[in-house]
Amino acid sequence: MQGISGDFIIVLGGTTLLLCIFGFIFYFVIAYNKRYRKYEAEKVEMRKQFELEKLQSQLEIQEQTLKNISGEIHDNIGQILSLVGLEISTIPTENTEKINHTSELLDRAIADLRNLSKRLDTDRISSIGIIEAIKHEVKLLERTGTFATELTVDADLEMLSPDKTIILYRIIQEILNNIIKHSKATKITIHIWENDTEGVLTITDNGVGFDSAEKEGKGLGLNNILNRARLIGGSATIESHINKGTIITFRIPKK
Amino acid sequence: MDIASPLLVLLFLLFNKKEIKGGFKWFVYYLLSIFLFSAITQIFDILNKHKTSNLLFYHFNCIFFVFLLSKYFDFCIKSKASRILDVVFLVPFIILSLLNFIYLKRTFTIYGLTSIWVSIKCLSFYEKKLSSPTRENILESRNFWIFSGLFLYFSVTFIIFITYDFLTIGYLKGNYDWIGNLWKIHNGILFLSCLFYIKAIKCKE
Repeated sequence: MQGISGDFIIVLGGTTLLLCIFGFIFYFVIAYNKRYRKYEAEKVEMRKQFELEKLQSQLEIQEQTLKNISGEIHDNIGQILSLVGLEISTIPTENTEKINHTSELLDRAIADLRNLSKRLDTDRISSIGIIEAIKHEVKLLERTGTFATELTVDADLEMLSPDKTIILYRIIQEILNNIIKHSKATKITIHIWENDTEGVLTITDNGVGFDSAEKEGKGLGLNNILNRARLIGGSATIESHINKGTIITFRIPKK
Repeated sequence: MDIASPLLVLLFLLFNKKEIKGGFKWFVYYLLSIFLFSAITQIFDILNKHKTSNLLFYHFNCIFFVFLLSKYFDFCIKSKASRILDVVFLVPFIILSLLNFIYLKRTFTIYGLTSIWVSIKCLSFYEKKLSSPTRENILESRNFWIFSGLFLYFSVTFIIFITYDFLTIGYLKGNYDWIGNLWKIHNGILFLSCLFYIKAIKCKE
């Protein structure tokens, strides 16, 4: 057991043992990392779920607030303004032109308030359905005289429940508000269609656009749109390039 | 090499200016004690020219290692099973240390026992990590690298410690080439484990 063979045994034994230990540590790292990746994936999923639940709660509170405001406008302020209109018409005066002008302004204010009340009223939107609600929005846009609009409806999106209808409607309202505020667009196109598996809604504008690749995951408003689309079980894509307008597409599965 | 390796780790720690606190503090004391022990043993042997047995010194040092490592383990493995293992280990350890010191005069028997204890502690650390929720990247965990270094060193050197007395008294009595080779392996393993410790120092706590 001495001499070269003895040294050889020591080296061989030591190396084998060392390899076994390294092998064990390596195996441990692999096993641990497998669990760690699973844990990370679960954490991301939980965070997403939490964000969706938080968003849903916020939307419920928002809808309740809007409903209250809508009711208040319709039942209280609207009534008072109508009474004011009646009172004005009974005022004896020689300056009828001024009275008529005031009545006209008052009628416009009442009409605007009614429109606002309708736009905010959750129950009304649910009852008339998403298509009618969108048509109403487009009509209001047309009335501003700033935008040319085009609405093509090739599907009724009947797969949407009342809750999902409200959420989708609010997303569309937000997108249209964003177009009005930021896009400098002159034309807005809304196309609703469907295929065998999903309903699709596309909103296109010819405005200044933005770099959607750069803003991905950064813009709170854009994230809000994506999260809300997920909340109704669908998905959204935002495609935009500087000076080439924006296309936003929603896909809502039929089942 | 057995002086240079721990010194290298300590210097690395010094230059990296890492905060030494909690369980890590006890591990640093352990490294420091390895270095001091090796240095003092070398000086002692040179001055004494191997005339007097350094058995007492080795015994004292081993007990000190066990104390420091048990403090470190206490911070990292907080389980009932681990504490039971400590009691199961400490009783025979103390009895064997006394017996060994009075009668057997075998230098490395208690080192062998210590190696088994440390190896089991390391295995229980791995088991705990795998059974509890995984909330950290293990490759960035300081304790993982320390335990791996300890496991590497003690599980391999266990064979050396356990067989050393037998080989030096029996087979290899007077064959200093063999003894030299055994210690070269020991020093090589110590150096490898110190590389693990350096990686541990680089990690955040």
